[in-house]
Amino acid sequence: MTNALLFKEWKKTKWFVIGAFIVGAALLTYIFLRLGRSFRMVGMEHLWDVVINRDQFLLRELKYFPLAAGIAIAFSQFVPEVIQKRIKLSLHLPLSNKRVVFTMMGYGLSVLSLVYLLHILAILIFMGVHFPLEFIISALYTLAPWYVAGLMAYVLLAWICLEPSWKRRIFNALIMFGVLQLCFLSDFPGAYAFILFAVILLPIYILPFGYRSVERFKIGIQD
Amino acid sequence: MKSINYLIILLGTLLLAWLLPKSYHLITDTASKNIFTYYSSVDKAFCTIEFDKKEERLIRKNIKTNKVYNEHEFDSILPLFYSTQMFADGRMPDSIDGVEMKPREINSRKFFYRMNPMNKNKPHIPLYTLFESMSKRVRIEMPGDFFRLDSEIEFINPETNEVNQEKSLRFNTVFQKRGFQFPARQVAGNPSTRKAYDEGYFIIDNANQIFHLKMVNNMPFLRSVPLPKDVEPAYLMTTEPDDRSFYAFVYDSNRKLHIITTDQYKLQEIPTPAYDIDKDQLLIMANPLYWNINVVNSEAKTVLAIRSDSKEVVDEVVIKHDKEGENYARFVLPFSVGFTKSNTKFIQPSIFLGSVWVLLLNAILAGGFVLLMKKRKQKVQIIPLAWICLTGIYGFIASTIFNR
Amino acid sequence: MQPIVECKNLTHYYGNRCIYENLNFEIPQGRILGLLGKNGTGKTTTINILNGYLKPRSGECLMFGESSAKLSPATKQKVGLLIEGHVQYSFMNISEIEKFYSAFYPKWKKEAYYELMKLLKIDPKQQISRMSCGQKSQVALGLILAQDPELLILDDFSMGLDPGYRMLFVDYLSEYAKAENKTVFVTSHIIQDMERLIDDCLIMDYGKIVTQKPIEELLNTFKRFKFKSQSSGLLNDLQEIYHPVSIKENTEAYSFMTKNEMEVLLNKNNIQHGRITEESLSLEEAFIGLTGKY
Repeated sequence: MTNALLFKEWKKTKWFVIGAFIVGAALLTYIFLRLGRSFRMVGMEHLWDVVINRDQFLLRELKYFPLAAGIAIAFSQFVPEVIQKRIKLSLHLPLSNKRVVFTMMGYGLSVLSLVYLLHILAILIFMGVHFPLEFIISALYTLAPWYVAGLMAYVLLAWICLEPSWKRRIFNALIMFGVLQLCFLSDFPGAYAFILFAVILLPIYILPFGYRSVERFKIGIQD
Repeated sequence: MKSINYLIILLGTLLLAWLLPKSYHLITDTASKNIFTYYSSVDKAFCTIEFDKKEERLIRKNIKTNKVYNEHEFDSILPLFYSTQMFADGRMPDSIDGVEMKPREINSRKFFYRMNPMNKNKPHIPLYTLFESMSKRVRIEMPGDFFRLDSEIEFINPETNEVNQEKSLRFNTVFQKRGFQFPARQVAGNPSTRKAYDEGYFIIDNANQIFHLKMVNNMPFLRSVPLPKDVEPAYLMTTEPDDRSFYAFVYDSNRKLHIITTDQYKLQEIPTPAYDIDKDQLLIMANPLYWNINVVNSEAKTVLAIRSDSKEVVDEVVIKHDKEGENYARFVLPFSVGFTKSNTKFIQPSIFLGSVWVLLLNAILAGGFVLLMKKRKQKVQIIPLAWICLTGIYGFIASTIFNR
Repeated sequence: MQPIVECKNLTHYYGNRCIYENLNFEIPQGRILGLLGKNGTGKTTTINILNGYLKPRSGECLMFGESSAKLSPATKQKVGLLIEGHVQYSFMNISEIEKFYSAFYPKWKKEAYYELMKLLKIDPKQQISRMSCGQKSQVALGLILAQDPELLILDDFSMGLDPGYRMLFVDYLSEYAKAENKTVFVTSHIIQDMERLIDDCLIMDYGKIVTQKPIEELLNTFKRFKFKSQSSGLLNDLQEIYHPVSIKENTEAYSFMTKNEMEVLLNKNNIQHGRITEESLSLEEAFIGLTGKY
């Protein structure tokens, strides 16, 4: 039954997942090509100098990619569920509502994480070849909040979609806006070093919100 | 599942406690004015330049006598600060306090040194550029490698991303011989090719010893800096001043500031007003006769004038910041949460508490919440109520919205 | 035997607007109950309460003895649901959606679904979103037939359907329900189709239940009376008479009374009248008689 549910989610999100992957790959290709050009034009030593001594971050263009991917996948997955109240069908499946909701969200988070992981893996390989471990650690500290933002955007957008009342949706959107800000407080490389752990826990904290809105749907709340 | 609701209310409350005060500050914040203060070697008193809002012009005056000067007169009151102008006008006296006024001499002993807590509290990649200090060239050149000081010193070639074993070994041997304790706690240098000369790095090792590292003719140079017993270094700032009279500032664990002089690395204490390197700003404006030591904290700017040679204090002035009108927000907002601060580049959560009186408002809001619940025909629950008593306006807004 | 569906003392309001108070009904095994009402009288509200998508202000619904607000997966398996507008996962195609649902229902009857699909002459790779409303209704119906549930809940199945498809739907459904002894709860605002389908009816008007009877009993007892009368205005005050209409002196009145009872009533109230003719009604006419033309 879970497999069938996952098939349904895949069916809805397929092109968006593939799209997110392709856009991510294209973005990375562009960044790597541009960096390769810098290697040749100004030399590696200068590039290292700029990163170490001038606090430049080489992967700045990646900033909003995870966010966009999270938003796209959440939309593609949950908008078809809520238009025409199709969620009624999903909630009527012979599974507990909790299982239905969390399987759906688990699917989304998994494919999103998969796209992110492949993305990060490519970054790690590229950086591992050209840069020392210190760079990689700093880059991970800098990138992590952006990827966390993507996961949170997904979870919160799912919450907003599943919410039956438009008025409440607006408040949910305000919360989403505030929470996402937490991931974009600073562009300075490594600025999140001290609280990265807390930031990584945030998506877990907000995960059950969507289920709350399903419960609200179940008691018939609407505008 | 009421508990999810509480999670939402908790998050909403914290976001409000962050964003509400932030938008309040966006509306009300004004720049606190900074009054330029400099010790006059002529008047032997502090002089200031301050913008007068009423007259809409800069007022230059001696704050001891309150005598106001025009711009031209002021040059000659602070001849060392305006030395270039004074020499250009031919107005520079031959000597002040028996010190001969020669342009080159003055220029080399005049320096500005600014230390912002943000310089210290920022993430950085622990790799460093070690220049050739005795380069045959006029300009300092990039050395072609970077070093790390972890369990040993390693030089890495950026072109290949590989460790230069030979050079690393050469340096490591010296580190071992000098008794350096890895890993380094702090490595302080100025990795820039745009400086007059290079003194490499001053390093605090794992045993709180200070070492001076540089590369001379491609060979390692590592000296231990002898420290007085009571000095435990907390932070180093390598300076490389023009007159080469000292190498670096040492801020110790007793919040005292020292310089490492070029006279056999002897430490000399620099008197400062109470100075916390993690919070206050330090600005040193030095000339051949006096150093002006400015420390700006949240309440005031304190300036010491000390003699350049003996470092003995000759004068002190405290300029309190203007009190920015009463902060009424303290009585409305029970607390505020922040993530960025002006003294650090790191994101760190912090909380600021408001006035105790805000509890009164909290109680009123809690009462309002009870009425609201009655009007909505909802049961009054104790948890949201307690939460509003604690978090006031934030909890009230969040509970009103999300506790239906 | 325990009824399949049991609704007790349902009361619901939207804000201050009363949908109904103290609605009670039950559907025994093998019966087909039609919930009839004009648009906005609370048909979907009732269906939503029944499916656990709405919490009534008071009262409760039981399905197979379980509260409809929290049905166990095992009970949900026994309930086939047709959502208003024949909404389905329209991002799937005919064969995908069949495979999808088959995973959830152990008694899945693939043939029942494909038999119906064959009639549609649609390519199995065709996405549901690109089908006509009638075709979609057949897909939704096919899925319910394949699910082979014990209880079918159909919300306004006639909406948006051409007469042909409506008839097809009704024929298929009634034959299936009768043959398999299924219990059905169905709502519609098009009454014509229902006569051939339902056993019992529950007729709603704004804010109240008008009547609740087996269809046979309703049609046997609820009649239209025609007579000529000059003082037909007085009819409006009589409880026993539903929605009297007079055009000039030709008067029409609906009632559960017999012709004799009617005559007695009119005489008692001094309503002059000519000869009374009694007419039997179709379900649709009875519905209009009970709820009025407006």
